Parts: sequence; C-alpha cells; structure tokens
Amino acid sequence: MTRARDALQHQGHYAGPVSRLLAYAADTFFIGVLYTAGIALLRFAVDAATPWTLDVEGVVFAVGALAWSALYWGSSWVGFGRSPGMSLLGLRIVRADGSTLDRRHALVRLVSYPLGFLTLGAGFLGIIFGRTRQAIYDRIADTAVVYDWDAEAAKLRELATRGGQRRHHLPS
Amino acid sequence: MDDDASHGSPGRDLVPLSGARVVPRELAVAADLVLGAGSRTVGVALRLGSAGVDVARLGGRITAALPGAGLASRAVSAAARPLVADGARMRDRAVAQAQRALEQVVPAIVELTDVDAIVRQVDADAPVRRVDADALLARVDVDALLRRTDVDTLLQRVDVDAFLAGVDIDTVIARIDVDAIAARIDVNAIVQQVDIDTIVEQTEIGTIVARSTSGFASEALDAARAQTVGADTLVTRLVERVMRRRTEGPPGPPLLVPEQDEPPPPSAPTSAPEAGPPPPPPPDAPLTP
Repeated sequence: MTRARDALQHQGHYAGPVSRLLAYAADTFFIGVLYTAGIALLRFAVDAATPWTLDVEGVVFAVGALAWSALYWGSSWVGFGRSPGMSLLGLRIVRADGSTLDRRHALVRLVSYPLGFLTLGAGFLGIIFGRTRQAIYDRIADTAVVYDWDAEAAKLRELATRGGQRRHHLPS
Repeated sequence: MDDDASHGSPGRDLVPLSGARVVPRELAVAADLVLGAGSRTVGVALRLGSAGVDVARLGGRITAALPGAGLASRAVSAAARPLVADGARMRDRAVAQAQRALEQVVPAIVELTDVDAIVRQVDADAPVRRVDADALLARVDVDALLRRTDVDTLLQRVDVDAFLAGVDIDTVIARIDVDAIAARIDVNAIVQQVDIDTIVEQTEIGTIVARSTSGFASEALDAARAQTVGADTLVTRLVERVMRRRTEGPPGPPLLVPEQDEPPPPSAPTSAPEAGPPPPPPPDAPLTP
C-alpha cells in the first residue's frame, strides 16, 4: 500500500497514466452530470415560462455537449490550471519547463485537445510510453501534467491518524 | 642598671613587670639583689670546694702511700659514714625544697609570659623557606597514597546538602550570560535534527492536527491519491521493462525537480564520441525519489 509519505516524494513529477485516466473519467462524469442537469433545468424553465417546448436531441445535444465540454475544460484550465477532475486526483497542468500555465498555452491545449481522440487514441499513447508523459496536445501546447497536491499535510494527517489509533489500542 | 633597657619596650616584654598581677618594682629589685649575692656566694663556694677536692685528692694519694694506710683508711671510712649519711639526707631535703620552689615559680612564670609576643617574634616563614618542597613532594608516592584512600568513605562524609545550601543559585544564574550561550547555539542544526513525523505520530499534537485539518473526505482523498501514485509507478515500471529502457527519463519538469535528478544529456559537447556509460553521480548528490 502506497502511503502518503511515499507520495510526498512524487510531488512535481510527471503524472502517470492511471491518475490522468481517472481525472479524465471524473471530468467526464462531472461534464455529463452538469450538462444533463443543465439541459433538464433549461427545458423545465422553457416549458414553464414559454408556450414552446425545448427538444435537445441528436446533433444539437452533441454539439451542445462539445461546447459545454470546451467551456468546462477551457475555463478551468485558463482559470485554475487544472480541471475539477484533476483537482480531485491532485494533478496540475504546467508549462513543459514547470512554470505556471498561462492563458495562451491553455487555449492552445484546449484547441489541440481533440487530436487525442481524432487519432483514435494514438495521441494519448505518449502519456503511457513517453518519458515526459506528454500526450499529443501537451506536445503541441508545450505543457505537462504533474502531481500537485498538499502531500505534506496529507502525510501529517496520515501519521496523526495512525498514531491516534495506536494510542487508542494501548492498554491504559 | 638601666631598667628600661633590661625590661625592653612595653610592647616587646616577654615577662612584663608592670601591671596588676606583677610583683612591685621594689620587691623585684630586692629579689635581684638577693639572687645576685647568692649567685656570687655559690660561685665562690664552688670554686673553693673544687680546690678543696683537689687538695683532698692529693692528700689521699699521699696518705695511701704511707705504711698502715689501709687500716687508717678503714677507720676514717667508719668515722665518716655517719657524716655521709647526714649529707645525703640534707641533699635530698634540698632537692625536695628546690622542687617545691619550682612548682610554685614555674606556673607564675608561665602566667606572666606573653605567648602572643613570643609568637609575634617567631619568623614562621623562615623554616618554610628552608624547606625544599619539590624534593619533599618527589619523595611522596601519590599513587600509593591514592590506593590507600577510601574515596567512597570520603564521599560519604561529604554533606552535599549543606554544601548546596551554601550556594546562592540566584547569584550564580545572574552571572551567566544567557545571550552569549544562546548566540553559540546553532538553532538551525537543532531544528534539522527534529523528526517532525515522529512528533506528529507519537504525541497528542498529531491528534490535534488530525482533528483540525482532516475529515472523512480528505482522508479518503489522501488515500485515493496515494494509491493512484502507486498505480502510476507500477505502470511506469512495467512499461520501462517492456520497452527495455536502460535509463529513466526525467522525473518532472526542470523547474519543479532539481537538475541533478535528470540523467546527463546524451550529446554533451565535452563528451568523447566513444565515451562509455555516463559517470556515476557525485557522492553528495541527493537520491532521485
């Protein structure tokens, strides 16, 4: 079992494929839930306030989903340098040299992000086999994804919890 | 006779003749007169006696050479025996009287003696100066002396409480320059030796930290992140083994990971084309996590 103390040593290192896949899955889940909920609320509002009925299906739904995804990722990358899924997994997008991601490179990354899918997944292979764990859009935007969470606090929390449990089990 | 000269200065009288407990001056002068006359008389008598002894000894020798001297000698001895006995008794009586006189005079002399004045006149340093301390110490076998010393008994006889009771701790502390001591302490070195992890894990501080900063969600998130990092490491090692990579890539961007953690560049300007494997890192280089 990997403990927080060991994870502390990996802070600032290139994030691996498992972390990035889970972050992507979390982002997809958030995008889907928020998009579905948003559509439902919008449909309810249109139905309630107007005599028309809002039908978002097919191409419109897909285009709306793509636009919402672009807004979701673009705003989070530009604003915070990470998406909500990345925050959950403790990842952060930085420039390839490690400096803070700026708006221009965030937008370039957003524009080139579909290439990972358009290449039928080949654009993601760099995350698994590349030395710097860069996907195709990372290479285009000159960015990288690294571990970045407060692992020091996590380590202290783990040590404190373990020490408290040990003292609790000691005979008085 | 100069009385002042004979008595000396008032501060240096060994037997002071003035004062409440001393004999009056007239009596002392009379005693001196008697003693002087007596001593002269005795001296004359001793000289006369000595001459008489010599004459008697000569007469005895002449008499012994005459015929019938033996008989005459015995007759004289018999006649002189009572006289000798009387003389012996008188001598014993005189000795006894002299003894009694001394017993009365000596305490008076001792009482009249100013011992302090005697001590003042004694140069105590003179004998000490004549002692060769080095030679004396050279003859002392200190080891043997120490072997014979029972240190435990000596220490048991030391009253430490009494010793400490006499120490004024406040005065001692007041003389200590705490600032100078503190200035010599390398606080950074001490702090570097503190194991924060052990303190957090083994003290109540850890509990406080845990209660104030963590909840179920944060602990679950910490565990999930740590597990994910472990999974990433596992996948990375698997890929490197499959791809048979001999050297690892950089662990992270150069600004986030120290330079020495990265492997040396493959085409360094100063390296020879036929150079072998990269040189080992310096011994003081930190280990790559």
